[in-house]
Amino acid sequence: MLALLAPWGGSLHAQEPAAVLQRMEERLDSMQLARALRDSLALRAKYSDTVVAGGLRIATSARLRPFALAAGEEAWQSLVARFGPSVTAHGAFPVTTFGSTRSTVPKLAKAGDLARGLERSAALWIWSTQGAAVLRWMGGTVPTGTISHSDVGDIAEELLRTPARPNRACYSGETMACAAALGIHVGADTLDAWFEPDTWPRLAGMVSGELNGLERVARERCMNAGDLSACRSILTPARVLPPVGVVGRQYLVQLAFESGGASAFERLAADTGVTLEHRLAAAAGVPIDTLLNRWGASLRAVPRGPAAPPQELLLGLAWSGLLLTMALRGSRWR
Amino acid sequence: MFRAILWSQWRESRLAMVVLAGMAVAVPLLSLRGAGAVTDPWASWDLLRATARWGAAYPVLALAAALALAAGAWWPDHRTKHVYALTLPVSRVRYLLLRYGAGLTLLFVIAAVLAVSTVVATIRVPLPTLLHAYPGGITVRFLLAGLSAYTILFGLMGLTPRMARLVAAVFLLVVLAALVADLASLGWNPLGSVVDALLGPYSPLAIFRARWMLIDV
Repeated sequence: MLALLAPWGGSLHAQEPAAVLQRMEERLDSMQLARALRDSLALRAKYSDTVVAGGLRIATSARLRPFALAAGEEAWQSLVARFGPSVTAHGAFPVTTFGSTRSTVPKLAKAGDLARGLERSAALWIWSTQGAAVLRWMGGTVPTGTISHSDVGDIAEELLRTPARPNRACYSGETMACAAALGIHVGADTLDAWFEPDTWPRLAGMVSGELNGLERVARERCMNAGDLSACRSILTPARVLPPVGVVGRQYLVQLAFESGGASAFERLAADTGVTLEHRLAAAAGVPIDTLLNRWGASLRAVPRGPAAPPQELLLGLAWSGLLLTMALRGSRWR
Repeated sequence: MFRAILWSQWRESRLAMVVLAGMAVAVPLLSLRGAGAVTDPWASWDLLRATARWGAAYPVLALAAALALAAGAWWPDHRTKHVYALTLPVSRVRYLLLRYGAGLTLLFVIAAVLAVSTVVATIRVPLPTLLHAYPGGITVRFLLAGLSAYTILFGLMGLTPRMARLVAAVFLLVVLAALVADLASLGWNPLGSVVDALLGPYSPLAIFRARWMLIDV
């Protein structure tokens, strides 16, 4: 068995592991897309009616048609607003199924809930077909909705909490440090670019997921003996804690879209041959430095700490006054 | 007269007051006890994680204080069937305001203890650059949360037995409606709606959902 595997192992060893992984990921992506298409074709035969709302096709029953149509139209409008009018330029969406011939719509069900579900699955399709590299950079998570003010505050906290080399400089306004923290512009040695060696043993302790026997031994050696080569073998770019997590990356994409207007996604998806920073800059319609500056500035602009803002103070006092008045006007003793 | 009522309130809730004041001293000190040297690269990580973990203790403390003080405000009258209150030559509104004020005064005392404790706790800890301590902010938020909860509980505990039964019946009806809605797959949860209304962004208890970080960015 080992003899059979040896030529494979040799050829794999000779290649850049990251490149091999990327090729395997791309193959997996295309296999998953093919499987989704096959499944959607098979399911199409089971449903009696198909609703078409813009580019969305929803296989459903005649009874559920009006509900599915309303949801589909709402989802489509939202998708066009997010991704631009030529969102279907790269092929049709797979057919989505909703209910079956026996299903009924609950009396209080809202079309908006279904619309959000349809929008999410269509958005995943759009990202995986037209922006797969950016999607991978976002940890495979499609941005849904708008990142809130409080989430932006959490990104700022994460930036100062994680002991990564570029984080504090990024928070202080250094654009290149933000690019490194976001994983846009990192050198060949990601681990060294992100973290000082004295943080590696504890980072190794944070590695989750399945580790094989050798990796577990290496992790122990890293954590207990501070063996940096063992740490390196564990802390691969895929496993190491990123200086800024998925939400921070999604927020950069959100800012790029806000800056770029209606055709931002089209520009992001237009040229897949260029680097991530060029694609984000193209989407935003501004240089990447400007976009990163905006990202950093908006993080610094969020007020933090538990100091009650004036409206919270007024609201609390107003409610207390109202409730006290009600209590004083109670009927006891009358 | 206020002093007499304050004394009666203190007598009723002194045990709870001592425990709550002790907790107000302990929580900030314990939350920052593991803080390492500023030179440690993980100092911010440890500090913010510990602060976030202990953050839930402040609203719980505010709620517990509100509950103890509201109960202490009404218990002497409930026990004596309001005879003492009815014999006093003051209007009902004035009497209730005095009772409410006495509880509020004790809430201020716990908040003052918390303020001192948070200041001491944050002075003892060397803060990494770009992180800040918010002893004043957390005390104000504690006071505001305690005030809202105390007012609600003061109102609820002052209800007549008939009104209290009515409130309990409405609550049971909502729970029942939630069960029926769930069984009938109506896609609607009245209990969830009530909780959302109570904790929504403009509700009296919204402050309990806020961030309670003694150390923050």
